[in-house]
Amino acid sequence: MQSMTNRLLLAVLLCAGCAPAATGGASEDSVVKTAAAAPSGPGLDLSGKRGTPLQSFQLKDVRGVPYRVSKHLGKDVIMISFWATWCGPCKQELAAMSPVYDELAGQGFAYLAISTDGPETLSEVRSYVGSYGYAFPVLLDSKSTVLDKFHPTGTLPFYLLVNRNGEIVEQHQGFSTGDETKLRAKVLSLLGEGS
Amino acid sequence: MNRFPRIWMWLVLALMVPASSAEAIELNWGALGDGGLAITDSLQIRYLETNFNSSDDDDGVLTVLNKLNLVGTAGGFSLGFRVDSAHYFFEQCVDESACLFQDYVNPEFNSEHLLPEKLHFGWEGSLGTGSLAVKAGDFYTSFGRGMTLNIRKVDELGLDTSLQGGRVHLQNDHLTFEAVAGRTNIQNVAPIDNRYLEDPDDVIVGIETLVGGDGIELGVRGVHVEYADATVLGHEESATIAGGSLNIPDIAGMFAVYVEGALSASHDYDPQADSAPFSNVPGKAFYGALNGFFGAFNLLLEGKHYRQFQISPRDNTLRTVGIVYNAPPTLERYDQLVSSTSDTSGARLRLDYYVRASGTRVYANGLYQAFATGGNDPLGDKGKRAAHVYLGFRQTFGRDVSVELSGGWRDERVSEPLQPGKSLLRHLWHLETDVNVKLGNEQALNVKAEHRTECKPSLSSKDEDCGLLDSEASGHRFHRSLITATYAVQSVLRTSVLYGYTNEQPRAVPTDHFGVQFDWDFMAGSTLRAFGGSLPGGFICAGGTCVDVPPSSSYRLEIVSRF
Repeated sequence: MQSMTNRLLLAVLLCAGCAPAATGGASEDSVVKTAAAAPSGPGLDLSGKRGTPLQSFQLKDVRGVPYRVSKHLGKDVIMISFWATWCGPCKQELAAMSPVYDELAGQGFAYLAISTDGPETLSEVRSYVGSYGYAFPVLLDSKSTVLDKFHPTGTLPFYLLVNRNGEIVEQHQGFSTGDETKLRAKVLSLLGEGS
Repeated sequence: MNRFPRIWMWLVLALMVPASSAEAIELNWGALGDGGLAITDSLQIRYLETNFNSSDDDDGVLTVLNKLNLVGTAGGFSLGFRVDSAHYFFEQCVDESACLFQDYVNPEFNSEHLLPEKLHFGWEGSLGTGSLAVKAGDFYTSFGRGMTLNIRKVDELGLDTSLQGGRVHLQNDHLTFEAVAGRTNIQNVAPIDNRYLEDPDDVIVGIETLVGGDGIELGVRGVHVEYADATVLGHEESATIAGGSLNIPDIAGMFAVYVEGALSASHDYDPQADSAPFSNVPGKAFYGALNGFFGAFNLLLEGKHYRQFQISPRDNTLRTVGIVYNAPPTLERYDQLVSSTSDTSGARLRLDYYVRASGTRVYANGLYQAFATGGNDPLGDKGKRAAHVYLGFRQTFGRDVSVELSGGWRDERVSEPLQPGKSLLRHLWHLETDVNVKLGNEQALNVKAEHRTECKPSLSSKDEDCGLLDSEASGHRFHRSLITATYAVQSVLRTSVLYGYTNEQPRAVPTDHFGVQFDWDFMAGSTLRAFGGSLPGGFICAGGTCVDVPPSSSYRLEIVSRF
């Protein structure tokens, strides 16, 4: 078991050595056409950033209709937010991102809110989002199978940002009031990259 | 102590590797095409100063717990594994062999320290207009609303139970089929107190089929459980559940209906019994939900009727930490103590109303149910009654300020008191508030507060002002509050201070608790968290099970690295 541990550590450290090639840098060619209204700052420009391809998945929405994320892959900028009705900061994030979605949906921004509510609170999901009249798709991952793919620790809220090439360029855990301003800037940056 | 060098290797790994890369690693897997390797490492170093109980032996415990999770993907393939590592150091321990290892840590585990917690290999691909997913190893699953099967992560309780075996999942627009088989695999290091728990190794097989079209979906499902732990007692125990459901998610754009029912049979064979070695306990469960959507006004009406219906490990310790294999909806608040999910009948009504023009949301919830323990009939003379009402509102002021306030009242009574007029079993009232303020472009403040005043049965103390109780016990009145203020800067640095108060007896020695926590997102997706102070503890409930978190004074450093 001792040698197994050492081999494991070695493998992980070797993988870490691959990191600089994967990180990439800001592309000089990228033009953020719509970023004029967005605040600038460190970490807000994701244009040119490369990442892991998002594995496609399919879930049902709150009306029971199958929803395939593949229809956005390679075309739209996607933000996937994992949330639950019992999670306060998650609900803040949904409320804060709703106007961002309303503003940018027409420019190729897809916002998917994936509820990880289990059987206990599943019945409350549609009532909750319905009363707010959110326009973005709300999908159900009551088995946490999709969440587990991208976020094994499972702590909510958690989001993924995917560029127009279908690559995950950012993932983040937690939400504080005001984060939506930065998220909007990042989305604009990614939208500008592919247009 | 000779294990320390390995601990520092983990620490160095957790701190240094994300500094070089904070994103998933993009790789080319040759013929399989482009893919990635996602590595998540969670390292927790916790020093438990005291848990305020009468024993000193379980105080002064240093635990170093690491969870390393790797998932490689290429095309439709994925391969992942998780290895946990735990190290325990007992301050009170002079002779290691005489320490609490037998209670706290499995001796074999303590010598190896490594747990290959999960391993899975999967493939997902298109099949006609639908998809097919095959998985071998560890996976989560639940059938319907969790009534017949619910093996999954319960974040609220920190539980992580998977089925280790195989799963086939087929889905298209009109058919969903899932078949599972495997043994139950729990997260062996308990999230509440880091104690080592053995895997139950119970074997579960199940099938679910959902057939839908034109807005109606019919489901049928069956599950069989063979209990491994029962053999320790010389018994052979098993359970079989079969059920069905009807889901109409959209009726004229205004309503949604979901109903589900199941029958169960728990079998026990005791070869030592002189007479009637076989016993069969039948159970049943029915659940229904009606949603109404009327623009800003939404309605939810739910009902339940469960009798002797709970599928859980035979090991009482595992039940104590909240592990169950099915979880029918309780209709309770997520944070409410649920006395029983196996014998209960009741209903709840919830109303939500949102005024978009003013940013005001109001909600009201009422629950009434009968419940019983020990296999008694909740509607009979051993039954108890619970009523719970709560109201709340959330108000936003522009995009910068939101305020939520809620409060409620709960009352529990026995059906037939031993003394006339002394039917009250437990009552409480509670208040919660959550305030968020955006301060400029880079800062935010969040203040949360919750309070409850409760009277509950107690054998050790009596408070006349409880006005209690059923004559089986005296009443103890206590207060519990928790206030947390969090200041966030640039959404990467958060500082929280908390104050907790409780005079609940006999579990909490101090009444006042203070703590400080720092959260720093030092790289995208990676967080360092440090906590120091004491917490009042209390019940955390989810999915019909509750975990009693003891009060504690501790210091904790946690690093979640993602690269």
